[in-house]
Amino acid sequence: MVMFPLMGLKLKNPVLVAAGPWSRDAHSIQKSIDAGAAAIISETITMENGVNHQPRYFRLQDNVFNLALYAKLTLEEWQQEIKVIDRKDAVLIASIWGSTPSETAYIARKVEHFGFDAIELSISAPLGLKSDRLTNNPEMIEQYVAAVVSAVDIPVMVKLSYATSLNHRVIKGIEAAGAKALSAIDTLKGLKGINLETFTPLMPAVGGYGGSYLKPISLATSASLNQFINCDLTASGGITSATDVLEFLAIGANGVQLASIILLQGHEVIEKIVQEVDEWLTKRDIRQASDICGRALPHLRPYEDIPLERDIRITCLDPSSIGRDMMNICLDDAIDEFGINVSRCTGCGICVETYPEVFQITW
Amino acid sequence: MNIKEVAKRAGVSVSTVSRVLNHPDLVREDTRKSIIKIMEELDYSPNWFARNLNLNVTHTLAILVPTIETPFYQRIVAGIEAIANERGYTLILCNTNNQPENERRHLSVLRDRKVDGLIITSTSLLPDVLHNLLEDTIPHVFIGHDERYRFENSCYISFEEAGYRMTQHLVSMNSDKVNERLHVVLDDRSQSRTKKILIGAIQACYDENLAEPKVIQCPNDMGAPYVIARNLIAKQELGQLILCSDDEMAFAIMKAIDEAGQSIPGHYAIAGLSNSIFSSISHPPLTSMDQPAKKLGMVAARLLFDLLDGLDQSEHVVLQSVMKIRRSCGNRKYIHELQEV
Repeated sequence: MVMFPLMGLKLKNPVLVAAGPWSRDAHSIQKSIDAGAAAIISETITMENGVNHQPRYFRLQDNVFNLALYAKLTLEEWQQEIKVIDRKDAVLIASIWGSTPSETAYIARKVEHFGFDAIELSISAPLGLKSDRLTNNPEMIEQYVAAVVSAVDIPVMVKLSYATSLNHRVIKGIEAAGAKALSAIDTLKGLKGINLETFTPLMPAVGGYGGSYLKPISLATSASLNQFINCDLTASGGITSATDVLEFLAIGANGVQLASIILLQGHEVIEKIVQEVDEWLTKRDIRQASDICGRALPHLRPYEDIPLERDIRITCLDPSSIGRDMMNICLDDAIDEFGINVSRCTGCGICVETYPEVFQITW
Repeated sequence: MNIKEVAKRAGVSVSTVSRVLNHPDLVREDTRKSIIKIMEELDYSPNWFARNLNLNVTHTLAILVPTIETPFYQRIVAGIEAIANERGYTLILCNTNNQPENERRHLSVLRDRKVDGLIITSTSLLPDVLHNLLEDTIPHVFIGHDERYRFENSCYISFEEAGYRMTQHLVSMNSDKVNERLHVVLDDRSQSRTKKILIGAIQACYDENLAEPKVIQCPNDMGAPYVIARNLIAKQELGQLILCSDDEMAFAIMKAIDEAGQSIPGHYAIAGLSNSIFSSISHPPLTSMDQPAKKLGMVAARLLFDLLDGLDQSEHVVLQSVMKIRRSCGNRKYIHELQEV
């Protein structure tokens, strides 16, 4: 078994369960533990009265919109819930949110006292209470994180929204304040659509939008965060398979969080992914986390450093199959019924991506 | 060293010594002084925790409120009760009506009843007096923020920040109305809160290069603010930007403005700071600030139970109010009602 260290804790595999309704109580958390997840993050615990809007989930294919802010269970109820969890060898992380540094520090102290092993601090204000003051203000965020870090002995991981993950000053502040890890990214704001008969939105309010569509965005975020942070990183957003998990590890994540996929396929999917990741690591004889974490990073370049390819040639393998749609896709008007007009082709590659059986790059 | 030895040395009963500690006003001056001298000689300090153990835990908490007639304090009590009920505790509610005598009387009675803990939501006693009455007798938590007092455990909503933010918002929405002074209308029976609101408003005016606000203090009812506004309108002296400590006062002023045939937000921009349940359906809907009063009560109860559970920490928790941007401030946007930028 390969150990994946994360903020000083030893995770038995790189699969974590993200904060969300699939971790809303002891029963649901137990399912994740029994399915083999290395760490489980609770639904976000606050001092508010949790609200369950009805309905609160909407779908667009296998992407999900949610109008759920935070846990329904109160602080006191969490104290009781955690007592009935059989941890086995899993790590329990409490996701918390508060409206001020002192309020959040209080919750942090409490959850540490209840027995959680670490904290995931949500700094992007939740849906409905958006305030730019917190999302993009480095000084306030640093204060916020520092208050929580100094209140507890257990490690603190800070969850970033997409917007915050682009803000270098904020990230530096979070690290300086003592966060041991970052997790990126949270859901994006999404709106399902508009009913044009009635001119009503298909959702009562803009919600958090997550699902497989997010994977490339999250992958890019992991890649760029890893360039300049010193602390650990867990990736979240669009991870739905063992391959996804491995890709995120390769781009530099220390751990990977599963979220909407659990909502769509149930806790069983965790077991499948954990198993497949383990099989792959064994087959490749990976003995330690550093053998895979970040392996792909050196090959990724900043835009300016992309080597200029010279004279790539795209050829058409089967001119007889060329149809209208293939000709339309070419911006250079270089595709005709005979194949590719080499003098017009500028090597953009869109035909190769779209019709790989018909077009090929030959260097 | 215990209380019995002090009593023996002083030649008085244990209850007299106890009275010196808990009800000094009931003991004769010379008796009190000599007993205190003996306590100092013997290096005696009362052990309130032991006292509670001896006298049985009562499973009661007391709450001291300045009024039971406003939603703010009603919700604080509801919040405290939510936590207390979960722990099987009963509440004793003491209404002081902002009178120091009532407060003193309640505090003495509470000591005699030996409640397990006390939450003070407001005080009209001077710091030394209050701290003397409380010292080492009952575990307590203060709801509020006043630098003159030295409470070990407290929680509060920053009204200064609320006053500042709302003033800033009114100004940003109404650049056409900033030549006159902001009118700040305050409930004169809620000084601890309104004082802070005013400080915030004054600071915001300063930061926005506005003249100092004009202050109007009156009771929070539908009568007084209405009459004052009506008179000011008649003299054409009502400011175009109006900030009220309580939404009810804003409604009263809106009535006066409406009767004078003037409009909001056309002629005036107005906001409240207590987010009444009617503020979203008034005409126009009133921009206000939602105070997390129930949460505040829950936090206070949690802090108190931490003390009762033996957690020996000093905790101060601040809560944030949430702006509800509606129409009366001049806002025309829709999503703006849900979030402040």
